[in-house]
Amino acid sequence: MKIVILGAGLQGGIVATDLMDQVLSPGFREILIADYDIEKAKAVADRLDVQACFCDVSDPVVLEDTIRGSDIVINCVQYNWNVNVMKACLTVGAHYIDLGGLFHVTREQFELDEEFRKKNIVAVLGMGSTPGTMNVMAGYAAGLLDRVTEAHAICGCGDFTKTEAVIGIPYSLLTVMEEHTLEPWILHNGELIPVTPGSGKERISFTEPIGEADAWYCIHSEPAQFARSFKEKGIQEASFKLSLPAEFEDRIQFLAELGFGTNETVLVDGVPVNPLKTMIAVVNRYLERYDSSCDGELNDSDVLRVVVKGTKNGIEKEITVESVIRTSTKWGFMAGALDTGVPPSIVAQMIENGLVTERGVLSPEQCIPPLPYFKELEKREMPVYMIEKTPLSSNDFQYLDDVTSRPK
Amino acid sequence: MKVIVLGAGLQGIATALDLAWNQNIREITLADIDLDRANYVAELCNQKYGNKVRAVQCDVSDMEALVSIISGHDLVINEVNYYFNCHVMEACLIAKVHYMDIGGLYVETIKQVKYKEQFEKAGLIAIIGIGGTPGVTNVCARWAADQLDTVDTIDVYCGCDDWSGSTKALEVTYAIETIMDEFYMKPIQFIDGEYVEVMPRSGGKVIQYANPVGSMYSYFIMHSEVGTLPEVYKDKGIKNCTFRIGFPDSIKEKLEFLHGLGFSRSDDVIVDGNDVKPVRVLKKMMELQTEDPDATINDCDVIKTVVFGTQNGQTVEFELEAVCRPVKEWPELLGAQVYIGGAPAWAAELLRKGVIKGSGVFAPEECIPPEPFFSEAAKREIYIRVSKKILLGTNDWEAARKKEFINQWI
Repeated sequence: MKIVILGAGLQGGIVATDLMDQVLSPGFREILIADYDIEKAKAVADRLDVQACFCDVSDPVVLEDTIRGSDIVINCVQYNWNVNVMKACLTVGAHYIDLGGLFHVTREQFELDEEFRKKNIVAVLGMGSTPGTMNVMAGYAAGLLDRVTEAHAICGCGDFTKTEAVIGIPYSLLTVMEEHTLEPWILHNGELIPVTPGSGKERISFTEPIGEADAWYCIHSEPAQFARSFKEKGIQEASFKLSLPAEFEDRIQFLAELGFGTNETVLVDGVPVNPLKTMIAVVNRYLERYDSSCDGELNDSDVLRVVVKGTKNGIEKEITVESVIRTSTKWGFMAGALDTGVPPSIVAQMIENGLVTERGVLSPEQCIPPLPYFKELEKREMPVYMIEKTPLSSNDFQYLDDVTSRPK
Repeated sequence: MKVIVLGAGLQGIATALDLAWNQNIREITLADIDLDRANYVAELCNQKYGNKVRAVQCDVSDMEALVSIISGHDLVINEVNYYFNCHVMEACLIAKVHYMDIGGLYVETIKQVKYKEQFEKAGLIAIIGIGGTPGVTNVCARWAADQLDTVDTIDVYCGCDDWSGSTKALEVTYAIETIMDEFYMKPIQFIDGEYVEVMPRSGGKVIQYANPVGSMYSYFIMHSEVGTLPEVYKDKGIKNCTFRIGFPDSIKEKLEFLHGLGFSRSDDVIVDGNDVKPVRVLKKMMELQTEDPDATINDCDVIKTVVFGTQNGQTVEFELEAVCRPVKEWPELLGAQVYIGGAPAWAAELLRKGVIKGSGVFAPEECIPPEPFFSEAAKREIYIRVSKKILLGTNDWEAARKKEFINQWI
């Protein structure tokens, strides 16, 4: 087996680390990590004893040369390149895994379904934490139901690190900013519709260590994926809500309000400048310097929760599946990075071992066998559990809702 | 007197309005690199006070153009970024025009005093750092020093607060570049007779400012006062001179965050192959914030100058304070703009009257007679109050001060 990891950033590095772990990922495979910044790729390669090479994904010839001869491509570059990488996979006949397409790109990627089927290869879209594990959890819940009416993904992030750091970034800052400025899309009455950024605020009672926290709508792939995957089961409502640590949220919100979330160039001293890219350059410069400083031990957490509603044998059910992730004790990765970087490695091995049999362009809930996947998660410090809510005195929650919603 | 104001930004607008309001000043030129901004400010002044202000485009970095634009004026009030101070002074020497600015953040201030002989020879006056602080605070120090036989310590404080209602994410009362520089630079303070570099934002303590600011945590930053007062009062035996600033927590958190991210660093980042100075982009983004039609202005700077020394053998402490708020005449200005941008206009009036005279390069404490200057301030609703503290029965201030510490025996 040969696996190519595109992108030697935060997630690419974790994918490689997991794939090279002899205990978690037994067996021999050839691994190549490629980046536009060869030094970054080399740094990962030297640490893990894998191969490194330069790759500019915007150049189709270079891209195809890089992945030619590989069995699986794990795409960890910025999601804007997803379609280009998928087309290259079609050309060379390699399976494809990515970390998500922030709704719009994901929808575009689904259009390649026919071609992937014809080539007898699989593309697993959005195989990080959320989308990713979140979708497999939704798939598990939906599998327990005959009919699915609603599926809601909620991600809670907490950071308890005692730190002097000004800001810690668990995943692509570009994506963080887009999540704060782009219109979120939800499935409502069976239709995908845009809603106002920052709307839908709701107090969620997450499992510890997050506890009570505010979450709101945010652009994500899951509503588009759930709408497609659970169409036959009759899904009407789907959404994604995000809850970030209040302090982090305030700071990101502040930068967004200042206009640093925008790609529209502004004239600074006569030169057109992209505010978003400037801010990212400033923050990256900060992080590079900060990473080498001594600071409090990392201590963060993600709680992934999916709530799926529907019926089984005519009886209404509400199924909640949750996974709690803490800072990795094995590797020291932040929870928010660990839970995103590990899943592509697990799924690549599932493809390798023949556990993923579907072909075409698919969401994780359509092709990943949930229980074997969850077992792999637990080996990597990410336990998953489920709460099933069933009415006993009738067939639905209608009367219960009526009683609980009366004014106090 | 013909006055040219360079820079139509936060302070240039206040200077232009003050000069235009002053019936004794007939002709004002307002120059900015952005002609639209200069036109906007000139129009505002002309609507209020008749056709007195003419707007021109000027790139101060172009020496030839600068000299030609300022020629024919009697006074240049320089309110572009302080990086250009020496450059504009040189243009004034060529064009034979008097010069004022609103501060050089110490680093430029100490370069600027070196032009003394050249200005003397040319028969011109340059007043450096005649804004709010430095500026009004220096004149306050002068007033107190004049009462004293010896000067031991001059501590300057500025406590800022803001109750303005606005939907903008971030608003500041003076140039964001200067604020970021103040955050980044290791401030130089004059302690025990020596100039020492301290850590940025060290020396923090809670200072009691006049109401409505009240008590506020304030710390060392780089400032011009420390560059001139110890030199001017060397003969009176000065041993300490410091500057501390206090911001309200809400704004301090935002500024510290931006500083922490590195918006205060002077080196460029590379964006799409271009070298970009982060603070310039920050400034632009702040300018582009949507105007809030329902915004209200209600800020306050309390500037406080505390001078400690001896008078007829007795140790005394003078504390001069001004509460700077928005004023009725200029509802469009923040209180901070009224005194920072206003001060050079008050000095211009005194120069016109011949109350300020001489040639050379001067700090405000060297050339501005305090009382006439304070009268000009009072005409703009800025009132300087002074209190004198003496110890009765002893001269041991150190022992008396320790009684104010919770842990008094340290």
